[in-house]
Amino acid sequence: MKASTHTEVYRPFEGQLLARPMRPAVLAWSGIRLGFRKKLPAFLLFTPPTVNALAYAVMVYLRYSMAEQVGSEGGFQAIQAQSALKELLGDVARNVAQFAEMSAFFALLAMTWFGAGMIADDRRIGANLLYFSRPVTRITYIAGKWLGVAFFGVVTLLAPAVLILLTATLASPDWSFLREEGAVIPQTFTYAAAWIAVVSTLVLGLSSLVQRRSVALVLSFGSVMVLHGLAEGAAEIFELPQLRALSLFNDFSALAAGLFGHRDLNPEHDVLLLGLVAWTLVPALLLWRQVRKMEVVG
Amino acid sequence: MSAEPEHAPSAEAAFLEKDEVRPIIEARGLGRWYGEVVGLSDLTVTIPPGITGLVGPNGAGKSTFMKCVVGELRPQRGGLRVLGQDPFANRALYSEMGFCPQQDALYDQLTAHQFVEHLLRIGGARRGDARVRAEEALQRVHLEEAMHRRCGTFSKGMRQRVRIAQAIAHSPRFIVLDEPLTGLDPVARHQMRTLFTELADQGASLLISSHVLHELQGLTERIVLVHRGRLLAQGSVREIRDLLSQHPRRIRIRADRVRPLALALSTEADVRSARWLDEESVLFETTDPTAFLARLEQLVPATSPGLQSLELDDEDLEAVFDYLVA
Amino acid sequence: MDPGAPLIQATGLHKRYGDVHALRGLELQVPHGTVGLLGPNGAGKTTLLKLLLGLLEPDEGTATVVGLDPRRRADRLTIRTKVGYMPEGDCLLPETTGVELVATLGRLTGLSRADAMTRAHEVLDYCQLEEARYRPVQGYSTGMKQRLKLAQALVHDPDLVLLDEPTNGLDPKGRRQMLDLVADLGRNQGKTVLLCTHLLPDVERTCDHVVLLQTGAVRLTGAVAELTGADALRVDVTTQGLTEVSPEALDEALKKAGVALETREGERLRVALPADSSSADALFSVAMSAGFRIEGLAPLKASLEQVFLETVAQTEGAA
Repeated sequence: MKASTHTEVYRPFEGQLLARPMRPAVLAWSGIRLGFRKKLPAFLLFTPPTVNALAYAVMVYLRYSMAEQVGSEGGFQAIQAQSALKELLGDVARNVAQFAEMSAFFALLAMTWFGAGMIADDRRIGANLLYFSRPVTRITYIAGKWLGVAFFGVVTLLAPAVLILLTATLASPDWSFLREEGAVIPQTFTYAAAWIAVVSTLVLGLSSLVQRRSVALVLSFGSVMVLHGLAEGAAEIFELPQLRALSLFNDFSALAAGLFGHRDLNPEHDVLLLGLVAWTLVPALLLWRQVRKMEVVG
Repeated sequence: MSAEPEHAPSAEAAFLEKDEVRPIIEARGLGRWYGEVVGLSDLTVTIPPGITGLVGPNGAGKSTFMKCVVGELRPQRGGLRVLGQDPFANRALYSEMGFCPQQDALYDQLTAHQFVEHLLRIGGARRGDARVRAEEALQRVHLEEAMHRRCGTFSKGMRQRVRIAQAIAHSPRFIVLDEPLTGLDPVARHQMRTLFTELADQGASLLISSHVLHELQGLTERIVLVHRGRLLAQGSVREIRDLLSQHPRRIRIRADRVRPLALALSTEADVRSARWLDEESVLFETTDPTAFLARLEQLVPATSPGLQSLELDDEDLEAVFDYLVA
Repeated sequence: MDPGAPLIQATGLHKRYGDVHALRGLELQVPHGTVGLLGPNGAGKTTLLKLLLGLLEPDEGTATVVGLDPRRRADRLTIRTKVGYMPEGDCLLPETTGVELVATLGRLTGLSRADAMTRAHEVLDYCQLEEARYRPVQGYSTGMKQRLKLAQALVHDPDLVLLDEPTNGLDPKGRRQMLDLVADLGRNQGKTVLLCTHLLPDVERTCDHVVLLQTGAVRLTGAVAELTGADALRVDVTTQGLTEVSPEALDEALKKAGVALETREGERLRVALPADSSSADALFSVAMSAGFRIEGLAPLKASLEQVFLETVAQTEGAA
């Protein structure tokens, strides 16, 4: 063996940079890890949607297994019992739709809580300089942050919905769920994805406006709740049902009604869907403008 | 608290007369904690009139001491007299003292001039007087062109100048400046240092803290060094260095024919080490610099070594600071 | 790219923001090694930094950074993989740990997961952040935060390192640690370091070259040693016992040796040696006959501060 010493502390990097380093994913993951650093908020925000999802899954499972038991006895009584059961528990598709709309609120809570600081904190301490002095473009940055917020929506809304859909698929006899009510699967995905996308954009847009996480939190949660109240009130007072389109909840009710087709709406879909477009576009434009400012070294 | 007589006119006059020789600050066993975090633990120091530099590592208690001195904080133990009075919440003393804090606290919606004028008015100046004085102070910090712009539009350096201006606007006798040169560019640093010297020449006393020891060195000989909330050393750098006899002095010599000189100098036991820095310079460590220099004085005329420079390497504040703190 | 070529070259750079003319025909060649970038506030340093990071394109003129052209779209992001930037502000999220931050930023530059981890630990070792690297940043001292910011600028082993006020807020010990690292990067690790600072003593201590910017153009550039060039014939003398010496006695002793007195103050003298002398030996006989002791001798040197202030005043006078 030839003797050698290697005392240098600083070493040059001999390797290669990756051609496709998936920068948005890296950025998102670092945001998500920071979110989980505090255990109590994570526990408080994830427990209700989890419990809720389990309850619905059990309900769907019971519906199929009881229907099978009752159905196996045959005869008029069985048919009567089956329809009674259906009345009590509802269609599985209806259950899923109901669940999605309910979980949307949990997702709103989680996304505002974890997403409020994502850009506001960067702005307050100037962390954007560390990102934009690297090969990170404005689009990469926004995509990374957006994926980070969306993750919390996926965990609280989309993942539980998938759990219930899976339960229904596996518990139904002869894949009857897929055959008879399978349309609800793409409907649920569309609904959840739209909600996650709109709320993520909203939270980030407002987070980019301010320099404090707490302010961003109040702004994003508050704007949804306050505008809902205002919209409802104003629609009553001025007898203009179109004003209800100001509320994000109402807009999504319209989307849900359109997708799942289970509810009557006042006013018509068009106005409400227009409201939805506004809820997406305004924060998106804010976000673009603010991040453009952050890109420049100050 | 000592039972001084309430200010009878005669006592007042005697007080003012004595003030000429009185120290600006007398602190005895000063302590101040923030919860369990120590700010000052047991600081005893007497600071005479003139410019004094306050030095210490981060968290040594410099800012806490300054806040106690200007009466913003009340020490939790010990006694403190500033200009002969207890400074805490002492309104009479406020008009004689100026304070430039480290915190960046300006009203962004006011112009620099309005801000300084406003503070002067709070301090009790009449309207016309305040306007003129604010203008003068802002001119002295070289903000004459920007003084009617809102502070919100100012750069870091300009904001620092406004803070200095408000500290000197009411012509105080004693000015406390906490890191006054931070954020300033070299031109501004030079201007402010000139201003501080001017103020001192006009009879004001200044207490200036700084991390950039080199900068204090040009302003004043008198340094107060605090560490762990206590007084670590005071005096001129040279005096302090002379007290640190356990550290051998380093002497660097550069000469055209340095080898024979170095050998001749190293014959006595006071030379602990000699290290060649390059072909022309040697760094000696000696425990007895006086004897060393005496030998050099004999050797140079006798051997003509072609001496280029002679430096007592560590007679600057930074080296002394390291010896004391390490 | 030719390894000897300067990492930054600029000719006739102009940049305007609305009415503000931030760069006015900037000409610059930054040599290898540690270079101090100086200038009063508003001189155009920030604009130059943005340009070097590929965040800005010049309006006029050409520039190459690490051999690439920031005006070409494809080059702009590549420039940022070869440049490391240490910003002035805080920049560190209080909850992140040191390793996490450096590794994440390494991956954002394009390092693989394994490379990012290896490099993160190596540069943290280099910056002397020992077990603190596993703790959240909120517990760090100012010195540790600054060194962490330096570490993240080095994680991808850039050729060019831009340091914006790296010694801000540091106490003397922290400042020396940082300056030692800065000097080592330029002198031993083969990096080109551009050090932006208002603290001229820091520049004198670490930099081989300086570039002085004012009103959007380079006003002065050169080697520190040359700019502060010593005048061997004029000497500052520190003494002991000079205060006891009468002016006449001093005059007589000086005259005998042919030395001219420039200033005398307390224990300090400034003298001019005779034009034909090659050393300061003669001063010792002066000291002996006048009766004081010499404690220090230094050829008169301009401080960088003097050079800076004179240059700035000249430009302002010309304007």
